[in-house]
Amino acid sequence: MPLYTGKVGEYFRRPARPMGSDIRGAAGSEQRGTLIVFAADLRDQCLHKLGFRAFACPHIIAACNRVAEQLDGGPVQALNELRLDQLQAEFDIPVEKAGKLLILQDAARACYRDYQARKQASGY
Amino acid sequence: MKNPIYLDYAATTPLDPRVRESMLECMDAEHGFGNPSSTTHVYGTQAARQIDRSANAVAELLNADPAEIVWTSGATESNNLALIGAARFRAMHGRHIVTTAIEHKSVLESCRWLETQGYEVSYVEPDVTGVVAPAAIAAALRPDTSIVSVMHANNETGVVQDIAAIGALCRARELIFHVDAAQSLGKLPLDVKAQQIDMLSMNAHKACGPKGVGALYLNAGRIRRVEPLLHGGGQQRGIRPGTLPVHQIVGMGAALRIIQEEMADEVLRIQRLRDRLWAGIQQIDGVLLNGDSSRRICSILNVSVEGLEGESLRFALTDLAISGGSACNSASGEPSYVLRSLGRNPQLAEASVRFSLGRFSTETDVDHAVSRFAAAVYLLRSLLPVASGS
Repeated sequence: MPLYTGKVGEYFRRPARPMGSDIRGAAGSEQRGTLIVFAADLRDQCLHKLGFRAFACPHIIAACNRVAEQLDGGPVQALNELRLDQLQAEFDIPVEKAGKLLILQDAARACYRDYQARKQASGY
Repeated sequence: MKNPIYLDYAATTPLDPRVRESMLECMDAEHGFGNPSSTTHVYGTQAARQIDRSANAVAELLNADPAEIVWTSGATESNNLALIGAARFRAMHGRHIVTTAIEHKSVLESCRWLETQGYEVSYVEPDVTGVVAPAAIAAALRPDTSIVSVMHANNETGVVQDIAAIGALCRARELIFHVDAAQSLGKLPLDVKAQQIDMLSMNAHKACGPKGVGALYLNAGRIRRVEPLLHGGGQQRGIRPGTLPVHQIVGMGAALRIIQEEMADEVLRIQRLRDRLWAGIQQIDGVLLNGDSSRRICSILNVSVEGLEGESLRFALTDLAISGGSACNSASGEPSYVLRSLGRNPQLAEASVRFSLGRFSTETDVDHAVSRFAAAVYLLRSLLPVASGS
């Protein structure tokens, strides 16, 4: 079992965040070991109640929690601009889990694409 | 930080203080530090007497003769010596071996190595409860079969095999029958005569004895010799040469004498704890027992949780010292091959936890484990995409 930093433990053990429903994006699959869903409400082009649900390893759950904490309240575009290197360093995520981090990024980007699609459709 | 509660006795056990005492005494300059092969002086003979006393303890527990005990470094070496040593020595009797798909890696890897040396091995699958039917073993036998190797109790699920029935069918066909008893020693009665066992592997550290010592029983009436893995020195009739670690062997002897005296009561006590643990855990939805519910040693409870990710499940339980699969598999990160053999899908095999109890486990430990397990499952379920309806 890989080692986890105290910070991974801290973010991993946080209870599930409330999750909005205006926009939503998912990536990965349980069968392949990682499934991540991000969802949020929108208020004035900003994320509100950004939450996630995940079938994932402790590193990725911790990273999802960090992303949700960091981006909640901020501009929706931030979902499309995640810096994986920062997350990797912050949680000391082993290099063999780089693929799982990409799934996290894909889920965030899918959420942003959902925003764009809804914006286009309804003229947010 | 408080140490996690130890519930990993199937990986190893704490040293019993009584065993420790006997080992310390032995390491004292006054008591048996000599080389037991140096029988020309009192230091050596004193050490040899202590070795004999430990061999008596092992033999008594197995209903064997002390001369049939070969000391090794542990069950892994015993399994290697039994399989490779006997297969090489008996090559003229046939080069086919029958074992099961759920053996410990030290048996499976020894078999794999023998396959590279021109031997053939049949790996018999268990049924979904983890039981290997004696009839399935019988069906795998061939005219050139020489050795059958079946573990007594599985190290991951604790499921017990019908060793006596397999022993009988092997004896009827004049085959050598090897049993890996690493998990059953001290938990189940062993009688090499009644169970018709020809070779039996064991270790001390899973029975509250020291690490680094084990033994191989070799039926003197049926096995003239096994080819050694090590050479030089001539100790132990050349089967396993090397100066004997007297203090460790004394520790193993002491551990087995305690078992002889206390096993009946201890097994009942541990079984009650295990049943209490299962009674608590099975209240949680989606928790499945791995392995047969009744044919199990008293100490092991292996469960899978539906829908959870395995690494996160174990991480959520870090205040419990438990194992996902066997300790030897924990490092590999691969789903348990034993649970996969029982037909568990990859998710269930991965999201599995082995609790194993022992001499120093208490009701408080068990109750804490139940409550921590429930909290971990609740946390992870609350994070699942399905739980949110997403």
